Amino acid sequence: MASGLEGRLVQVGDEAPEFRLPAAQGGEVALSDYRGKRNVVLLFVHGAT
Amino acid sequence: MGVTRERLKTVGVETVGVVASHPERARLYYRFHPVRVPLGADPDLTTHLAYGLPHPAVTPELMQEFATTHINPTGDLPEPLPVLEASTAMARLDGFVPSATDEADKQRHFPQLVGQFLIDRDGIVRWANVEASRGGLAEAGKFPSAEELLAAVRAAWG
Repeated sequence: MASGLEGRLVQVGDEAPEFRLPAAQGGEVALSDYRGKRNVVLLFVHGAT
Repeated sequence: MGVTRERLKTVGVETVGVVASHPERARLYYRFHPVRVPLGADPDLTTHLAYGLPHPAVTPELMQEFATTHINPTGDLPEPLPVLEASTAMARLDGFVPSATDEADKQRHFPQLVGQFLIDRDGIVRWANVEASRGGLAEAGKFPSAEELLAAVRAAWG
């Protein structure tokens, strides 16, 4: 599919970009919360429509 | 997402989600979709951009493809519907009524695609999957099964 506004797709072997976001359950969620502790599956999901 | 989380947890993998909604709307929406995974709300798509998830250019050809490609990604719809109608119909099935903010976000985000990444404890990406990257728009809205994610974990760590 032709690309438009996105940046370079993160590839296997890349360092995962850090993020810190307000959480739907309250508080915040950050990738760094798991660094050095747990492996993570990061799931991007479609929004509330 | 809850079932996937439980199965991944058995192999030592935590599940984290990112949704392109305002935090307050995400909280309301997920009363209809209770999830037990930490779910970050990112209405400005900054995380999507950082991970390079595709945001295809809107062209007449793309709009035609959206209008003519019928999907039923979870099998919950009575019949496959055009991509945009399908997302609305699925929300309706859940009893969720989108607000003006939700609709504005939908227009603003269109046609943002999503994806999934397996990240090890050192912060290195070990597996990646992007929506519609293999089967085109006919695969829109389809989510990797727990089995597919577990297979990715096994491939990454044996």
